[in-house]
Amino acid sequence: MNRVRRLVFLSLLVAMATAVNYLEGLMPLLVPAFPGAKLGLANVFSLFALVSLGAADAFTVVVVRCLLVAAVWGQPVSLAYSLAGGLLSMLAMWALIRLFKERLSLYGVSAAGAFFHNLGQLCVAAIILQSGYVFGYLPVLTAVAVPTGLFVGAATFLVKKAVDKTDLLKGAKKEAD
Amino acid sequence: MKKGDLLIIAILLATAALLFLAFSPRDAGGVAYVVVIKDGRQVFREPLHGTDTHWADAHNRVVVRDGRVWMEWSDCANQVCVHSGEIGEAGQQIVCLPNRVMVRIEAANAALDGITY
Repeated sequence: MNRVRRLVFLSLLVAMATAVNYLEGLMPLLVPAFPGAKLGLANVFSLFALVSLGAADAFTVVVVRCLLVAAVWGQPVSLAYSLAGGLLSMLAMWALIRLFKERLSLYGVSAAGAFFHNLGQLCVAAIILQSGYVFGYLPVLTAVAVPTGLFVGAATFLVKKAVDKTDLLKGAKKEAD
Repeated sequence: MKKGDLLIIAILLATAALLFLAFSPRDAGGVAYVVVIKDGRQVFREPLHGTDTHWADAHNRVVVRDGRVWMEWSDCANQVCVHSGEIGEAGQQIVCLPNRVMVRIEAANAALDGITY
């Protein structure tokens, strides 16, 4: 896969992640009982990048998506939340795939990623509110991470299956990552 | 789905259950207080029951009535705090992240007095 092709594909992933991230923010609440909980559909594209292109490109998708969303729609503080959640989540998913590639599929990786995304955001919330009490949300957000993570895992699986049928990404995966 | 996936799901659910137990308020007896913390500083503290009052600044308005507390209004973009609904038990909280406001109900003699770090 040559560099231009790769760059175009990466840009598409970033664009889709950004759009989905914004649309999701428009929806008021997934379930009213869980304030702040959402599906995290943008992770479909970063997780897809991780398994199809490699770790470096996956981190690029996360960081550029966070920067774009914050620059276009966000308040200054929202960048801290999305970066903390996105990067911690990506780090966890990358580590899990590196360590347990044979024993895990996208479902488990995505569920763990959802949990670490929430954990990262709560850490930033604790710093901003200067109170550890925000971790009171952790039990609910941990439980919610399971269905939302599985949903994102299933969506990523379908995307990967569809793309793998084509030769769009033949030889694109950087195994060195 | 592989076995490892099920293990991750089991670990997450077990963690959630343990955290629920760890964070559940231990003592709802005694007088509960409504506390509003803004920018890390306590700006409001009133008994939960027998009070009909509110706290407000330019960005948020919290109402305390008949042992229930809710965020009536906020100028923040996401409105998560307003949609959080009512709380009325020790340990429950409403958070408005964009405005850095936290509303908590504290039991007078809670087992967990506070978390410092």
